[in-house]
Amino acid sequence: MKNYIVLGLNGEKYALSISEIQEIIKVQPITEVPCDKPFVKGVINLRGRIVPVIGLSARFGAEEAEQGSSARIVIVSSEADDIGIGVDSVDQVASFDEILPPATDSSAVASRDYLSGIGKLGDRLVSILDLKAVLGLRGEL
Amino acid sequence: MDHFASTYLSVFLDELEEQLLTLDHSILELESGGNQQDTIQKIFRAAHTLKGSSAAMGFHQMKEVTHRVESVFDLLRQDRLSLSSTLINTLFDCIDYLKSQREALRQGRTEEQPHGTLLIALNDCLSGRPAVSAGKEETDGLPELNGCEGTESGWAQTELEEMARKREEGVPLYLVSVTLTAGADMPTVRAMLVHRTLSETGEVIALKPSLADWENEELLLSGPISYVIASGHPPETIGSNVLQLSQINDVNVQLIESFPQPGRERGRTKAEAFLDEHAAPVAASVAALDAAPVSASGPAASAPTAAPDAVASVSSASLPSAPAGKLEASAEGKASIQQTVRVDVKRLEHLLNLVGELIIDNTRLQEVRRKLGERDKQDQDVATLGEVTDHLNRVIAELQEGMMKTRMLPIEQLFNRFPRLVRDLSQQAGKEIQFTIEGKETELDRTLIEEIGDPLIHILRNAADHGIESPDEREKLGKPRKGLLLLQASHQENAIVIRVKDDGRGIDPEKVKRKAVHKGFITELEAARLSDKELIALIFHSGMSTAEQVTELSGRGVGMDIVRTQIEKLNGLIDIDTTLGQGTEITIKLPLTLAITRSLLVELGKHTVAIPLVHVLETFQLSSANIQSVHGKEICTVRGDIFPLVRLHGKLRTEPARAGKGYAVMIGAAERRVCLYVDRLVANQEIVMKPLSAYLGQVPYVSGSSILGNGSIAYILDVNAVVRDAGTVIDPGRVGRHAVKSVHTEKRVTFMLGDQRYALDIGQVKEIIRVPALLQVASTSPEMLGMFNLRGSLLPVVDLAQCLGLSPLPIGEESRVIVMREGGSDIGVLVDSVTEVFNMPDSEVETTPAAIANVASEFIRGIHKRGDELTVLLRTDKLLAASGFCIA
Repeated sequence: MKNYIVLGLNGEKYALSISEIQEIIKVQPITEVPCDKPFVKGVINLRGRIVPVIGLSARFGAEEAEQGSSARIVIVSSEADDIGIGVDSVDQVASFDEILPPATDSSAVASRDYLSGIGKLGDRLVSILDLKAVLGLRGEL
Repeated sequence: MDHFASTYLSVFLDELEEQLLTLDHSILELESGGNQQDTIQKIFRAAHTLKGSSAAMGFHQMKEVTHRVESVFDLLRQDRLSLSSTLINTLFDCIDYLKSQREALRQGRTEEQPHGTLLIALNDCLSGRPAVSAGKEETDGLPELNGCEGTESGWAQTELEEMARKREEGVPLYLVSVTLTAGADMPTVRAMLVHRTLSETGEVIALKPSLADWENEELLLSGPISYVIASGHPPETIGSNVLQLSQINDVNVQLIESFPQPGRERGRTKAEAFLDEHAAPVAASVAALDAAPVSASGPAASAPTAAPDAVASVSSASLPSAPAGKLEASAEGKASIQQTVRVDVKRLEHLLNLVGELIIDNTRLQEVRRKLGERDKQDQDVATLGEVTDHLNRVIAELQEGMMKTRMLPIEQLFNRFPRLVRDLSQQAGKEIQFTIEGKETELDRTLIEEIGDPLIHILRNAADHGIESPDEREKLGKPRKGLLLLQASHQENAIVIRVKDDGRGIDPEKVKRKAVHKGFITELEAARLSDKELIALIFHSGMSTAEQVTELSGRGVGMDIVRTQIEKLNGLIDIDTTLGQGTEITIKLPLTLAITRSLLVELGKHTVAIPLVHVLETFQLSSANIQSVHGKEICTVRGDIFPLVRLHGKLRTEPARAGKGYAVMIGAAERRVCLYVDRLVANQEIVMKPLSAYLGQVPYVSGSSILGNGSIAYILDVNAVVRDAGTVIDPGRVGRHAVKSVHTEKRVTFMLGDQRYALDIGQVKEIIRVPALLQVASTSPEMLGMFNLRGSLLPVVDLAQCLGLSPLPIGEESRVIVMREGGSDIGVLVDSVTEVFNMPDSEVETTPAAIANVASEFIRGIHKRGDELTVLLRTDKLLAASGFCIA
């Protein structure tokens, strides 16, 4: 059974497959980068490597919440590059009892384009992120 | 064969590359110098090696071609065939065929191209030889394939002769018998690996079974494989090297003693006699081995005593001729074998990245240690931490240096391609050219070697095609028929200088002028005002080609401007010096490495931006007086010239720190100039370039990034893009002048000491840094402020003001330490603030009046006046020597 990391963002829970995650680090000073992807927050110095960081809420078109002490950067690897994803918190490692396909008709969730499914964790539902779509590598940009 | 292809292809390709270079080089030598035995031997061996390895890899077409080449040289070295230009051209065709084959293999196409008419041409050459005794030569010309002569002993005629020759030279010969493990995988490859391993310690001159039979795996497995090797190494080494390979059951190394001197004609019979003699001992030793398998050193142990003299003489005198392949490919005269390891570049880069991470962690460690030290000076543990970090610091600095060096390659790799190129060029253009290469051993970064190839080829083409006159023309002019073409590489401080010099007709400024006017680059009127030097610089303008007609070689009008663009992309400079009728010299100056560049760090809002120093022409403080607005665009005036003023804050999405009081950095690429508005000048230091993640896509005006000492990230400015978008082409009158200036730099760094402005040559200045934590040292001189740690080396810091007899400087926010090189060592000098870098041509520097600003005149080179501002240009050598800090 696949393991997932459950992330908190704007009061909601999301999940990323653990195999996609390189490491999770505390928030570092971010150097802004004037690139044409609006959700890119900037770059950080990750032990000598320069790694771009995107804001997950900016990606979903939401306001960036004030960063608390629980905020983290999740480093994922995509193709050749490592990319950081800024989240409000990292909650737990979980495996889901059941994974449902993402709702296609729900217009309420702006972020539905970025989901690969909905995981059932006990009586709670957690949105499973489609990493490629989140990073904008699905070619929809 | 597929399995081979994947595992051994890269090894094979490397070897092919090496041997092709040898061939190219040697055949050229042969062409220029006639029938030299040494060269012929060299080619013969290269062809032989290639034949062997291509056969082992299953490339039959290549094997056949190399086999014929080998045959040709076999005849040549026996003086049974004479050299002709047809032969040489055919040989070059063969090399070209092998080269194209290599390219195909590189690109993953393993099927061979047909060799077409090559074999026929080669056979023609073979049959064109003067007939001596047809029957015998038929077999000689095409040996080995037919199982060759010397059938009884299994050695080929050529091999026997080679043995005899080595013997004459006094090189010990060893018979190495190798038994493969029963049922070994891919015996052919094993045998090839043994061959390669043996080649590292000496020269394999004979094989049994012969190479042609190696595809018969049964044969290789059934009995020992015998190699005859000429080597100066002790037999233990030879044996143990082979034993390290896997699936080798046993190795027996035996010195071949008593060898009759064969005459050229009767050589075969005598040699065979020798081998008949030897056939028995071989069999005997193999039999013995079956009984006592671990005996690599057994029979060998007696060998050194048998031939101590021979070994000694080899190591001193005749070594150059002994080792095969690799050494011969390199320059003649190198007497020692360099042990080398081939490493995948990716692995090296990975290591280099790791070192980069170490450096950054180390900086942070230093920081922690400093803080701890401040908090608790007495703690023993903190002191220990200090020792450890200091040591770590030194080790890391050395590690970094070592890693950088591994990226460096001798420029030979590139230069070795050129003799052939020039030969072909001169043949096509009907010129006679004497091509000389100097400084092959000069090392530079491998990426640079790759990048600089095309521009150099272009320049060499120009020289061969346009520069050097035809032989008849040269004779009329009273020059020797052969034109001279010199390619030279050398180190100059932190740069590589490559020179291409010819003694041809030079560039005619009048011709350039006519062309430029004709093409509309400049007007007649402007042209009239230009000096010759400035006119010549116009050849860097795109679309210029002065060739009267477009030839196959050059003159396509995409000439020197591309060359220059490419060189500037590498942060290099190019300069032309030409005299009509006497020749042209083109000088290219390149940084040693692309990974590290000296840059000016500036602040633009919240960003720190690095501007490669080669692009920085000058910096100056902006006042509202010299900023004006024209058509809503800002411009600034510098000494009467107008430049666009660019503010990049918007593009970089940041706000200027404070309005009004900023600096301007004049940057330039090619003939374009722009003044860049920056909030603050930070420092001048070496930075390690890192690419920005590809994920970010194109970031405007940023070409890369770098991590600074404190862990923060700086962007590297893409000067070419800024200048392209905003630069004005300054009027051509200045093109030449600037081009010259950027080579003969007269840039000076100015700084304040108290109220007086001083200047230093920028060439002396290595870095400008904030005042570091100083380590107090016991010193008699009050000028000595202490030592500090600059990336692992301890440098003294002196108070420049006190050296000049001024009162000591207080250390403030603006204080800086200028690190400079003086008298062979680095030294830091403390100054109040660094103000700017600007062009201060010597012509504008006036000689000193008797004494000024309390400074003894011997320390002053001159005074520069700009408006009513006086700048004192210092002579630091005298100054620091007088203070006892260095030897002038």
